[in-house]
Amino acid sequence: MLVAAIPLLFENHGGRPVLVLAPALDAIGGWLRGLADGSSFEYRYGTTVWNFFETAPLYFMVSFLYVALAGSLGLAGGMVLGLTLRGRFAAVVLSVCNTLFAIPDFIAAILLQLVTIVILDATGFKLGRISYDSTSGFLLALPFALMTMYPLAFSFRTVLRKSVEAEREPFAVYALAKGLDKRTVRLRHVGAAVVPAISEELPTLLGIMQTNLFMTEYIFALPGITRFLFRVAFSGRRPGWLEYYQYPVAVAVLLGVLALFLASWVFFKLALNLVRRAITGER
Amino acid sequence: MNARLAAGLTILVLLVVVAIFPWAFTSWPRGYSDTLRSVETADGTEWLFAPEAPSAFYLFGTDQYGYDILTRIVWGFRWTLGCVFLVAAARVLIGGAAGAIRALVRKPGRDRGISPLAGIPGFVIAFFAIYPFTINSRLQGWRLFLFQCAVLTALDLGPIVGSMAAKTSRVLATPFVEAASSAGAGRAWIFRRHVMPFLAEELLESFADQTVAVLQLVGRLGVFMMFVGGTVLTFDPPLLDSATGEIAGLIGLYRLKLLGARWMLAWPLASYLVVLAGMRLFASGLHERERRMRRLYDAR
Repeated sequence: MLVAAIPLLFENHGGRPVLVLAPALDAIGGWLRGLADGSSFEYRYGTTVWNFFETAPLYFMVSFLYVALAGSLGLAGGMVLGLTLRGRFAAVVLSVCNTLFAIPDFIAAILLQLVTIVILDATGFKLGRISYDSTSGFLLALPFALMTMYPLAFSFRTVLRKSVEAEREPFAVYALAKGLDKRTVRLRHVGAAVVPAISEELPTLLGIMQTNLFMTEYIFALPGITRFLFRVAFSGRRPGWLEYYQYPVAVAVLLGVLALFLASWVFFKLALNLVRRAITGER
Repeated sequence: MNARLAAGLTILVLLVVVAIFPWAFTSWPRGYSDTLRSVETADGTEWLFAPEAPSAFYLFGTDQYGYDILTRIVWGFRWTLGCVFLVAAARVLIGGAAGAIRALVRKPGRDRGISPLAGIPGFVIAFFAIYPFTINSRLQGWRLFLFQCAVLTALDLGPIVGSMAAKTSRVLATPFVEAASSAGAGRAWIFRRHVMPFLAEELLESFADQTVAVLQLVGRLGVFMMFVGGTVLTFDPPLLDSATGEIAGLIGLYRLKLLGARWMLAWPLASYLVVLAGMRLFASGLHERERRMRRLYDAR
């Protein structure tokens, strides 16, 4: 509620920004009062009044699909690569991951679109759609690849670091000395040791993915919950725009974004727990 | 000095020179626009309309309003670099001072685990904070620039304070500080003589990391049409433009020109990547220098 009230905190007084609390407090009070009759979740788009709960589930689902599916694929890919690659190959992949991480998400998104168009113009081959429209499905190849890229690089770096450490631990050395083959030790002993490390880094990874999601949905025009914020709450880029800032939508969308973060966190925690159980054979 | 640090510094120094003397790198004055011009050819007079593709006349081409892209980029560097360096320096100085004070007056706090607020990216909060002032703002020029920088500085201070407090606490827990304390040294003496020499290096590294972080933040805001120095909105039809032409803003502005005049996006994108590469190399070069110094120290 407080974050959504930030745009209401300042007013222009003769060209100077002046801190004013009354509009923000009024908006928060109005939103709380509106909870009783449901008007806190109504918004205006064009000339029509909509209910957030009728339209938001679809947006929420699209965002969750991108985070959960792309995140799972990226995490799984990073784990497999981190556990299997060693030596020169690992160094090359690590270098690629570091380069990927150095490119900001919005630059990567625009470059993907640019490369797609250049290839299409040169060869006639279409890598994928550069933006969503009502005739395409929700899952587009380019944004999906972009959302997969960062979790993959993140988990590969984490798994490689942790697995190299775990391979020197007494339990792994002992298992090798007892005659277990390298593959089994890497999967059952080292693999089981890296899952908690990824689980520990989950809030950081999800924070990165949330930022990626905002940029991806906006640049590829995906109908997700984060794009909803900029399309509806800030729809009044015109004189007197502040009258068109829809505080209730901003609050609802930010709550939706937090719900998405928590839902993703629960999803990945459960998934990692299952992976660990599958690796170790625990019940 | 290692190769990465040298490369990063070279790129940054060159960019700063361009930012300080932009007129020396372009043939056109700031804000120059040419929507229609004629060229005499063997077949007679040829009329050229904006946007013009890159040519010997306009090296980077022009945009749909006839603005020379090279001139816009060259004049925009000062706003982008100014914002990045100012915000990074302010964050490190304020955050560093607050972190050091926190470590001196109390023990570092424990990790509080997952925070649901981590789900809202920093640039979204920055967007909320600067939105009321950025579009057709009455605070034009330097005043708006400084206000935006103040907002961007305040946003990410928390993690810097926490990080600096942790680093200060680590130095305070070292045997030589304990020895100085046992010998009767006061807090001010310990901080000045034993903590500051270590923190100075940390602050420099933190500054380099922050330049990269701020550049990314400015870029993200640019995609959402929140430009450093202000966004100009005109009506009938509604059009958005960057008041300063800073390069992250130009990317946001020309992003929709992907399907047509691609040079309009390609050059600001390339300029942004050069700035990013310079800052990344500078930051990683400093980290490398620190690692080498630590190895040397350990070997002794």
